[in-house]
Amino acid sequence: MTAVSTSTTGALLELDDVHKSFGHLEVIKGVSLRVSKGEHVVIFGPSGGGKSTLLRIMNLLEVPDSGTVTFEDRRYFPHDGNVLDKASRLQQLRSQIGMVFQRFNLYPHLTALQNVTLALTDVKKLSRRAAREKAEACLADVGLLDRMEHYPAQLSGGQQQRVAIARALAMDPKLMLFDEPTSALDPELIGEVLGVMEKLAKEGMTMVAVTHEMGFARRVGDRLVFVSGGVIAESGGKEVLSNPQQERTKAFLEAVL
Amino acid sequence: MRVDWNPTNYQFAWQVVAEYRVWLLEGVILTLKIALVSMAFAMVLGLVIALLRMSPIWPVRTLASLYISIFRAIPPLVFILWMYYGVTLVTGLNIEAFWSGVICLSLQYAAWLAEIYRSGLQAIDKGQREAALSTGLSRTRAFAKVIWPQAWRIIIPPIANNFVGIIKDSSLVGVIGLNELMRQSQIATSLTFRPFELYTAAMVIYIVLTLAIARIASLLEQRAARSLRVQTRRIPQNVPSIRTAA
Repeated sequence: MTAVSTSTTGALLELDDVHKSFGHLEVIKGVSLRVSKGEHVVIFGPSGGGKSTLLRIMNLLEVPDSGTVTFEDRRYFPHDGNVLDKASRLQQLRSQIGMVFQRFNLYPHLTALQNVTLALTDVKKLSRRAAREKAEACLADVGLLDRMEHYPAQLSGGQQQRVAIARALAMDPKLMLFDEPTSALDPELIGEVLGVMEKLAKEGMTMVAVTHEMGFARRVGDRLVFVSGGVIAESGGKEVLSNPQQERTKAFLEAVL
Repeated sequence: MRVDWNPTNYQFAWQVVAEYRVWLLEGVILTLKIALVSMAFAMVLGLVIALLRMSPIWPVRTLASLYISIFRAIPPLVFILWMYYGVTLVTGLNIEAFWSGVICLSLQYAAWLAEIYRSGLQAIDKGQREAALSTGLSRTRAFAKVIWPQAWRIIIPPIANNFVGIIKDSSLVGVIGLNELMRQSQIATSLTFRPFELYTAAMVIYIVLTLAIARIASLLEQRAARSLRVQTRRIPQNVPSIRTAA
């Protein structure tokens, strides 16, 4: 770890009162959230409630209208303005945060291996050889070493998502974001992706996952965050699932479980 | 009843084509030169205009879209005459006929190509760019390594069509004295009084050029699409996979 933690809060990532509107629609209405190192946060809630937007604010794919994002004590988007941070700072932030998307978003014109090596050579400036070794190790981690020369179109949904996880892991992220990683998968393929995620969690990776897989949430989540109507309606340990305090949470859980 | 397709009993003299083959060849060479140089400029300028057209800054977007509307609306022949005779007169610049023609064709085709680039770039899923940015790639690198290679595949056929268009429109620059294929045939005709034979030859040459371009385009397209064809070879069996824990 190169970063010296001088944090007063102990948080790896912290959102402080972030707001985000799309046109006239306010999607995030003031959310504060702290993610500590090694913590596994599961965000759940009804669709349209702002879960994905919240996740995308964490690596600044979405720029909040107000509020701050702090990652390793570096602050992004101070309250006083909505001025875009310098591009290089954004790139630096994003290269330390891995993201896995609902629709995989693998590069269709590149093989599984090339999907993983692209950022290694381009951002981390590894040599081709070093990048290949690193990528092979990551693909092996997700059980796809033998598929590395395949193009995304030749892989199943579950395999594609595992390549996408390998692509994110290759950058040695300090935090992994999962945006409904199993929602686009056939039911029989969900398990293999959740398996990889659980393995990562066991290895101590800090992660924030938006998911509807309540079984996964129960097994892996240290903290469960119920997001609805653009705010955190309820948050806590596993008791959020077994004994929700809010009516909204109760209603949602009754509907999904 | 017999249909007489040659009612005047015209006597063909195809040998004039052979006699003037060097003229025609010189014409073809100039035609290709004009088309290639114009296309190269148009492709670069077109991409710039396409990117401006998609700019988040609205005055930039408006200007780019104005450019596209204007240059697509001008008939090329008018534009070529205006540039060579009009602009040189007003500005006092002595623009060579070749460059005059090239400038006109480039500016006009850039407008068409800009819209093609835009359609190709907009066809790429937003998630592709986001995935690239999320791994720390800069916007420029995301464009170069992720967006462009995919968009390029889509736009090869319409780009080839425009190249064909530029070759055909290059026949217009004969009016400013450039001895391209069209004008060479015209001069040869005026010397031999054999318009049918010589213009037929010119048409055949244009057809051959067009077919050649179509062929090259389809090869390029196949090459670019290689990765997207699902290949059935070399798919290993019995793949060990991560045990599920659902």
